[in-house]
Order: sequence, then structure tokens, then C-alpha cells
Amino acid sequence: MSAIKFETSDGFTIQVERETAVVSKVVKNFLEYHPTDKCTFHLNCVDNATLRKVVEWMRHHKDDAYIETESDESDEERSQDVSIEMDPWDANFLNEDLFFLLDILNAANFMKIKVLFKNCCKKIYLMSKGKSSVEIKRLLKERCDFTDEDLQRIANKYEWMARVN
Amino acid sequence: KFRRNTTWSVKLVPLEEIEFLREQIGQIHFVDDLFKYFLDTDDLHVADLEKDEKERCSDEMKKRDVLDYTEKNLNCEKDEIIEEASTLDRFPDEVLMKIISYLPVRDLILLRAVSRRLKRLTEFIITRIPKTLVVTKDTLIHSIMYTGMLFPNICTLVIDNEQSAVSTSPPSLSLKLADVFGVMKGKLNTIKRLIIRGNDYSYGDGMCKYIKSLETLKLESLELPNPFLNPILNSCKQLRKITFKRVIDIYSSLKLPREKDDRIVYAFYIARRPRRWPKTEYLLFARG
Repeated sequence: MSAIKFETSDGFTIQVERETAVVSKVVKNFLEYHPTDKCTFHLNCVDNATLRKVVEWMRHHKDDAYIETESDESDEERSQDVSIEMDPWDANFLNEDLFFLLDILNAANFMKIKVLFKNCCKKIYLMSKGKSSVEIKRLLKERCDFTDEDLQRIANKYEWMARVN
Repeated sequence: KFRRNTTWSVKLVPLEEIEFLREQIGQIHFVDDLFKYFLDTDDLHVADLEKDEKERCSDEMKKRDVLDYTEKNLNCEKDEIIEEASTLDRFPDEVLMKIISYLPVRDLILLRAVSRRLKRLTEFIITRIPKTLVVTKDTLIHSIMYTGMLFPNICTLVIDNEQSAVSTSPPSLSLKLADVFGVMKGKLNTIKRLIIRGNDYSYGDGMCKYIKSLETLKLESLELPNPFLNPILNSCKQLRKITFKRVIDIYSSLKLPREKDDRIVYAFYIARRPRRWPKTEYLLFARG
């Protein structure tokens, strides 16, 4: 059985069986055009812990048909996918803190694993659902680079939305 | 117009930037969008662009920006003084936009007040990314109205009375075509694709005058009135494709001869009228 190696940003190397590795579209596309038994992918923005988690997800989903057929959908098609339902295994698997979740999301984007990316987005949405701007700001540790005047102007622009229940 | 409004500023834009924006925005109403982008009454937007340019050009300006930033932070809430790097700093704009595009409308509005970067990305999604509006049995008329008010670029409208995820309202309350078009009126000139599934099409002629940019029409599981095709083809000059699926008595609606092979019928039909509807390339049928 051929194996694919992933080298992480912190210098670790993880060996993954080919069937699992091709869940990543980057790997799949590469192997289609350059058929080889051994190759190493350098993942500059993915660390060891994140990659192990992502590989665990890939192993679990390697036989799923919908992963195979997942295509590059347009923004328009994506906007129709409004369901926030998630596979229970995935929901449990992604029960991590926000920072680790963002790392997984970044890795999924880098390795082009669309289903994992979508699920991370849904999970983050569920974490931030119903929170105010200030609470989201705290959650994301985002810098507040607005003055009070700016904030007032932003609030006024869609002021009618605040009245909508 | 410009002289009266002191908050507007005019900016020369390099050709490369215009080409980049053209790729991002697409060809639809490109000039309008470009003007909105650079001549925004909300001067924050213009200020953003100017600030970005200054940051690129001058080190001195960078230092001043840092000072400004510190002052702004002090102006914000006391507990918001954050010294460590933001969680989202390591994400490029494309990734953040993907995440934001999954959020519902209310969260998009809230996200604008989080930071300048998130505001810029959120407003890009609200105003420029083509939006699909789906109207089902359970959709409330207010929801359609607010979506129309918020998103200026609704590209696809799906009116689906057949399926509903969780049916909470009796069928009698489901929206008629006239209700949807009555509420949306002025917002429909951007619509390129219209899908009507299982609804009453009796308002079909009335809706034609609102959807002048329509390119694709898909009709499913409904009954068409007798003079169906002429009004829509006369109003929608851009219409290129009409798809029928499970349409009741389609032959008499389109005044078609009954043939075994549907493809031969429509090819024959269009070939007879090439001058009247030059933009219409084909009609599609699905038996049922």
C-alpha cells in the first residue's frame, strides 16, 4: 500500500495511507496528474496537532460517497445550502475550543477538504449564534478599531433591522 | 451633485485595480458597482480605501496609524484593550469571506460592528456577491421584504411551494406569486434566474414587467395560462433559456403539436420564429 507524507509547519512528518490522503482535493489532484507511490506535501500553515485531527477526520470519512462527489460549487449554490444540520459524529468531533477549530478550518481550506470546511463554518456559526457584536468581538479577540462615532453610524445604517424580530 | 455633498471624494483608480474588481464583481452592473465602491456616501468606506493606500505608501503614515489605532482602542470599551494579536489576523480575506458567507442576515449586520476588516468583508458580501432568495411555503412576507431591502444584488429567485423543511403554516397561508412580486417590485431588476415550482402562475403576465434582466426561467409542477409565452418573451429581452418540468398540458399552453419526441417539437417551434425572439436559443421540455 502506497503512503503519502505530510510535513507540518513545526517540522513533524505524518504518514497517511493513500486512500485517506485523497480525501484532500489538493492531494487527489496532484496524484491524478503526477501518479507516484511516495510523495511528501509540505503544509506550511498547519501544525502537528491540527494535522493529526484533520487526518482523523479524513480516516473516518474516506469511504463516504459524498466526499468523492464534492465539487467546486459556486457562491450562488453555496448560498442555497442554508441547513446547519451536521453529522452527529462530526458535531462531536468538532467539539473543540474556537482557536483549535479555526486551525482546523484553516487546514481544511489549505488542503481543500470542503465538507470539513463547511462543518467548521457551521460549528463556528453555532458558537456565535445569538451573540451581540461585543460578545463576538470578545470571542474572536478581534481588535476594535472603531470610534464611538463610527459604531453609531454603523448601527444607524441598518437601524430598521434591529427592530425586526 | 458632487459639489453639494462634501463627504464624497473622487479618486483615480489604476486600470489593474479596475480589472481586478471586474473579476471579483463580474460583469453584472459593473459600472454601477464600481461607482458605489468608490463614491460611497458612507465616508467610512472611502476612508478605508485611503487608509489602505497610505499604509502601503508611507512608513510615517504607518506610525501615525499605530498611534491613531491606540487612541481608538482607548475610546472603545475599557475591557476591550487587547494587546495580543487578533485570532483572525492569520486568515486571508478569501477564507474569512467563505466563513462569513455562511452566516444568516442578522449575524451579518452584527458582524459589521466588530472590526473594520470584518465590516469591509461583510459589506462586500451584502452588496456585491449575487444572492439567491428562496421563498418556500413557510416564508413570511416580511422576511422577503427585508431581504430585498438589505441585498441589492439578488440574482436568483426561487419560489418553491412544493417542498418545505418543516411545515409550520397551513397551505392556505403560502404566498402567491403576486404577493412576492408585489413586495419585491423595484428589487427585481437584477434577477437573472427565476425558478417557480408548484405555484399559481396566473400572475405570470404581471410579473414580466419587473424582471427585465431575466436570462433563465424554470417552471415546474404548475399550470400555465394560454397565452403564456408572448408576454414573457416580449418583456424579457435577455431571456435565453426556458425549462419546463411537469407542466400541466404544456402542449395547449404553447400551442404545440403533440409529438412523441419532445426535442423535435421545440426545435421546430423556435425555427419558425427566429426574428421575433432572436435571443431565445432553446426551450427545454421534461415529460411528466
